[in-house]
Amino acid sequence: MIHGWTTRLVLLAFAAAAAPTLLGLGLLTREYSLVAGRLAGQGNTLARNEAARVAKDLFLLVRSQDEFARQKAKADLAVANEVLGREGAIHFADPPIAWTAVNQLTGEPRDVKLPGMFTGEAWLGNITDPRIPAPIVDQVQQLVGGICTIFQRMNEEGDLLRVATTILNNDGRRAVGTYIPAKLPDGADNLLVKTIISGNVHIGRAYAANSWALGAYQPLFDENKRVGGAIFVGMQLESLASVRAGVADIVVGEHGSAMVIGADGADRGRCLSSHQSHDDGKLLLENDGAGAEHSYVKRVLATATNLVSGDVAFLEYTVPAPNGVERRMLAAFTYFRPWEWVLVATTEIAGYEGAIERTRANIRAVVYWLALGGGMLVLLATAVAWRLARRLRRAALRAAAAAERGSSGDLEGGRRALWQHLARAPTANGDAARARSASSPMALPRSSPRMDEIERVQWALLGLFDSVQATLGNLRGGADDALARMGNFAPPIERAATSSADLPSVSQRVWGSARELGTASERLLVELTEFLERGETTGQAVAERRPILESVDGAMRRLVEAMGVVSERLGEVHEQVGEFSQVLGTITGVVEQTNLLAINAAIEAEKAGESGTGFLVIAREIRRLSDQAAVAAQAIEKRTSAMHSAVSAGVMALDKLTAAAKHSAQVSGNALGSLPRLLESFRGLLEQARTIRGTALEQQKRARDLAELTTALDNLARTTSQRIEDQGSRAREIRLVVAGMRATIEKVKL
Amino acid sequence: MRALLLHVGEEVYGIDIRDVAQVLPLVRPRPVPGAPPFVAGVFSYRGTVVPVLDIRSLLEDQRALARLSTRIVLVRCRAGETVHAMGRGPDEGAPASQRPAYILGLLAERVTEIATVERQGSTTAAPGAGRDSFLGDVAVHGDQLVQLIQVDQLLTPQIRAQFFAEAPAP
Repeated sequence: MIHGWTTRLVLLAFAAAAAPTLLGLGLLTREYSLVAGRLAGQGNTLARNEAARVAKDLFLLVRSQDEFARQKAKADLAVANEVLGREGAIHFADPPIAWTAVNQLTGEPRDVKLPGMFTGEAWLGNITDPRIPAPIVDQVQQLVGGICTIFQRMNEEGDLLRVATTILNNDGRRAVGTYIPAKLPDGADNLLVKTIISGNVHIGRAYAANSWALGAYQPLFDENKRVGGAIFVGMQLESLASVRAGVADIVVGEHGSAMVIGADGADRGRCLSSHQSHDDGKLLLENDGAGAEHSYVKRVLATATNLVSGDVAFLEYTVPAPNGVERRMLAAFTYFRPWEWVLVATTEIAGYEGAIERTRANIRAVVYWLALGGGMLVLLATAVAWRLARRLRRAALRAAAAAERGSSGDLEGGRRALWQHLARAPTANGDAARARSASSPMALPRSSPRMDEIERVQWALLGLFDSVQATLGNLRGGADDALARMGNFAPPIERAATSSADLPSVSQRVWGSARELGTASERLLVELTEFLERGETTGQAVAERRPILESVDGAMRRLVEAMGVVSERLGEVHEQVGEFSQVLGTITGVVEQTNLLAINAAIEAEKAGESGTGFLVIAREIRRLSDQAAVAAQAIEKRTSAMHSAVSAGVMALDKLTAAAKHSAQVSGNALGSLPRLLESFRGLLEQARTIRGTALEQQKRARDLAELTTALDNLARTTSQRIEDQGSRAREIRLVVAGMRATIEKVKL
Repeated sequence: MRALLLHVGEEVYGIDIRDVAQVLPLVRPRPVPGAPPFVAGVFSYRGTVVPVLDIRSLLEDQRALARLSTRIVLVRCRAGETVHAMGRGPDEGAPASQRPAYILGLLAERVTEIATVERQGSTTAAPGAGRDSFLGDVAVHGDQLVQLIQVDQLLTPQIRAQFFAEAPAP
């Protein structure tokens, strides 16, 4: 399905690079969903926790301030008593002084006349100008800071009129002339006044002139040990800078803030301290025209005063935002009863969810970057793999192309292409390749550690080319050699085949001639016998009858004639046997030559070693055949020469006989004239005729022998011819095979 | 081993085929006056004058018959052994393949067969001595005994001096 290493490598690299990225992405996504699920709904809790913590901190701050103020009030009171003791006890003296006493709670004025109040010799006077030093109170303020006030008892009820104070009114004058009513506007007893009148010290919060203060009220007794007034040392709550600064600086969550709200009296719903002091002094109750953002105040106040000191309560509410979406807010609040302060921490719930959202966004960003980085990594890896694979592919294709060229026959082309490529390599191996010429065989530089596998394959291929080239070169040389040898080898064999093909026809003719010779010899024998019979009779009656002589003469003539025929036939046979001998000589020569060639081929094959084995087998076979042919030819030669000599002997004998017969005939012709001489010569002829008869008998025997021999010769010739023909075709086959091999090698460019 | 067989009379002799360069048909060598009787003469082989020794003359004081199967066997002789026998010479101790080789023709009868023979061992009383010093081990071919001929020993100093005064054959 996937073809080629390029695709495979690229896919592999892609997978290898993509897998970790995908895995990381998967893990992150899972983690993200886990975290997101865990964080969902945590916003509210976080907001509550933080707001509660702020409210609680605020509570602790206020409480510590309260405690500090109480301690300080005690110490301040001691200082004030010291000052008073130095100046002397208080006493009252006339003339009475008219006051327009103003109820500090209701603002109601009332005219009263009271005796002047003295401490020691000093009249406390009615000093309103802060630049004029007032006795006692200014001294005390100088010593301890804060505020100090001396009250004069106005009546039996115990209304306490400020006669000397360091508290300034809103108009910048000393707030003398106001009084603390013994009865609250609702008619109840003022616990503070009651405590003082009863001669006890009150430490705590109190409304001083126009604001709340924290300090100690101590009754002042006159000469009659009656409570004639009181002294107050303490500080205005407004001046508790640490609380204010703390509240102002507090930030709850992202946009939340802290606020102190008064819970009773005139301060109910009034912001006493706020973030950056923006809303300080404002009344935050709805019906007082407070903004929607403070809609919670009323509800908070309703709950807060019922809280156990230090407990934190929560209120969720919404405020409209400029974009029309309501903001979900949370208020955590606590109540500090001694001061009747409600301490509120407000925050926007969404702020915490925003943090969670940021966490999510962070994770998303991580996922994004991971995806981006992973993607780039994948691209990089893929690109690198592609490059690498392309290199690999090129090298492999180059080797394959070279091998294909080689296998299609262009060995040299393939080898040269490989060599050129290797020589181009910018490595030590390339140097090794360049160091060699293009044509010299190259050994694989095995010791090179810098060779990669592809190069190794190419080098090995180059080596293969070299060795194949060398082998083919050797083979071509061998084939050339073999062809040359076959060239030497084949023609004689073919000649032998051709010659031996003549052999049967020649031997056939010899056979025919021998038979004719046999017949002629038979006739000669008959003639001779007759002649002899007649001659013997003639010898006795030669002198008596001439016709007999004439008949002898006739017999003589026929005899001569018969001898002529035999002689002629013998001549033919002689000639044919000579021809036969000649053919046989050729055959024998060829056989010898073949044998020689076979021997030399075997010698060469022996030297060629392994590669010559096939040739050796052929050479051995040829030699074996040539041996057989040689044996056959030798036998033929032997018999032929025997026959030849026999025929020669026959011819010679016949010639002699013919000469004698002719001589007799001649003599017999003349004998008619001179019979005695004839008789003489006839006796001699008769003698000779006996010899001829013997010769003729022998001749006939030889002719029979010759006929037999020729038959044998014919058979032998046929066999030899066939064998030599076999050899010839075998040689031709070998030649064809070798030539084919040579042609194949020729196709390969070495 | 493989040996080229040849006959002297009824006896069979063998030459290690590795020593044989070629077998040539019988050509009449040109007689060399004053040469030992066993030297049949010289003939030209590829432009080189090659002395021909008559094996039969070496063994029987009788010249080889000119049969059809009488041939000239060209052998490669390596000088060295002979020189060693003379107790001098620069080639002494050199490996056989590095010693110079000479082509020598051997006239022999019935050179018709190459056969695998089994070397049996030496039969001469003192190999390397006397006129028959070229006779080596005896081998067996079938039922036949084959007397091996050490061609190197044929190159006697005399032959070498007479015919190979110049550089050896390549």
